[in-house]
Amino acid sequence: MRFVVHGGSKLMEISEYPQNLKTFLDKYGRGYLDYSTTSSLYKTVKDMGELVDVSKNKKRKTPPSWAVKIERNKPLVFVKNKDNLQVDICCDIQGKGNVVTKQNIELRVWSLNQQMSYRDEVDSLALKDELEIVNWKRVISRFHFDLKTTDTTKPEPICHLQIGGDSGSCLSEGSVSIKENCWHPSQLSIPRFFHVPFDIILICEFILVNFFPNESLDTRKKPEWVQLVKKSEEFFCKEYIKKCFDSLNDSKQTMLGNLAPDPKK
Amino acid sequence: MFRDSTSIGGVTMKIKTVYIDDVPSERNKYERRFGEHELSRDRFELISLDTPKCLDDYNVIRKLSPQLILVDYDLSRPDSNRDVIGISGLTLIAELKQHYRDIPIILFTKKSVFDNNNLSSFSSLFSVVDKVIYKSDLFKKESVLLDELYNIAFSYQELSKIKKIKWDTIFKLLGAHDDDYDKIKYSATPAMLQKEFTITGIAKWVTEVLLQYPGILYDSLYAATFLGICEEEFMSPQIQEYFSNAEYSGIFGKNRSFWWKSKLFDIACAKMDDEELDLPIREAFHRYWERVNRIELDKSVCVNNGDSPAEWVCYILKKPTMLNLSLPYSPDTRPEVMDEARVSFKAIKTTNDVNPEMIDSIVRDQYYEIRRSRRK
Repeated sequence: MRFVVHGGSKLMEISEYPQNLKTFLDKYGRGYLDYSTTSSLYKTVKDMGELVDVSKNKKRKTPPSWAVKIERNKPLVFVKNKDNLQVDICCDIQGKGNVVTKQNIELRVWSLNQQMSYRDEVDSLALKDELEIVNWKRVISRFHFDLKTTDTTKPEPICHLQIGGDSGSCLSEGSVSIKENCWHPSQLSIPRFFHVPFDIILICEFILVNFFPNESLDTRKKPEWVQLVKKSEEFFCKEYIKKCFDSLNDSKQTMLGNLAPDPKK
Repeated sequence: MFRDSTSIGGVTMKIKTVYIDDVPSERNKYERRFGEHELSRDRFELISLDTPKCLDDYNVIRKLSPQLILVDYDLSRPDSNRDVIGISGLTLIAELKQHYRDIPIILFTKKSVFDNNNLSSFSSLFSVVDKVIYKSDLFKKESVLLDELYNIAFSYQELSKIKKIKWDTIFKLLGAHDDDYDKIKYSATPAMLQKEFTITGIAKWVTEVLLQYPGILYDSLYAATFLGICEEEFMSPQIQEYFSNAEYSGIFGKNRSFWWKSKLFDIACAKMDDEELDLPIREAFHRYWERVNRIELDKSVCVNNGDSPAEWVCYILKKPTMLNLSLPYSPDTRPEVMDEARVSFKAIKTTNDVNPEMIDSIVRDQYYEIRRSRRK
């Protein structure tokens, strides 16, 4: 299933997206991002910028293919918040011109809080020893925000949120390898909630609101921040929300029915 | 406000000042004024001289060991031999700076010298000058320029006493706290970061960066807005006493009042309860004050819509503004560590002083929309 983004005023062209990502990293990530983990995103942004360059595109016959990837083993890490929770994200977002063809974002919430990470009544002593070595760092929640793939056989919504999902690889912190030890069973891949598509900027806004609400209050009030986020909303969310709205007027099918059509057999 | 901490043993230090002007009547006039005015007679020892034309003239200056030099811009009056020296005050200052690197040299001149007071076209020439002061402004009633002049000269003296300048000595001269060391360094010039310290370089950095841009140090307007209260409230004796430990008492700060942002924050938070600590300072401080002192403080009020407490200061109107009713503005080359400049919607609507080229491009459309809305 693909979203084609078209129409609307002030619609962002994909050629603007790398600069928006860079603006976010340069201006709004300070105080929230661990900048030692941003180099791969900066590189992706630079590479993408060259791919979708406007002057280059004028000569092209077909829209450029682009990708924004943050590898699982080198996630973009946020600093820990006042509750000793630390979030990291990885993603694989791909497209062709203004069409998004793949959108997978994973968000992990790590606890560095002993009381939260280790459950006396449930977790083993062996786990306790393991967690102690890594300063109680443990994944307590994992979320996947995915665009449904064309070849799936599951009746999943076009854009969905899945809790848990495939467990990630270990996190490398210097020479130390930290296992997730997430208690959500990796075999459980349902339910999937229909959810607005996210890109990096939208998920970062989500993280700021949830994990740094007070610290990010001033930033989120600024018109320039609002504009930056709105450009991503227009590009990544508008069509999906339009579909949701249209389905309300569809007397023959429910919203979920429209957003999670039965897979073709 | 001049705080006289420049006296030693109760005696104010006098600054030996050389004033160079090719017009005898001007020299006489300012010798008299400096000698009579209550704010200058005990602080400046003024010696006026004609434009130096030969080595002997320069030696006269050298022997005086001045601590401050004032130079007129227009030195085109012919001498007794009807010869015109052919240099401007700026050229002379450039020459003097090579010999007197550790004292301030001020361009002291008439406003009419510069077309429509437009200094910007001369800005590239002013790099050799430590300050420009107009003659007509110096002795005006309510003028703070004499204090400024004294402050500059005194601060240069403090700097020149140091045999080897290091970052530690600079922090000490500023009266900086540990928490601010990194921020202060981030605001420094590339030369300073390479530990190439010169007295003039440090002086310019302190006066043109540290005290010029809000972010590490705040003047009363920014301090008040930071705390969420109006400027008058901030300047009240009770609040001033409460924040007295946050006051800046370092070099170049003696004729104006500044406060360390970090200390304002620490003092404001020191006795807050958990609920207050969860709020931004501008929301929390007046609540804390009311809880403890049973006094309601007047809050900072947004110039756009009257909401309070306001969150930032409009660069153009110099009034508090809400963040969402302002746009980011880049009027200068302030270091990133300083607070960003913002212009209020009101400034955009009601003045022609906002340059759209300086508005962040992502919201420039919004600037034009606001301008268009004036006509409706």
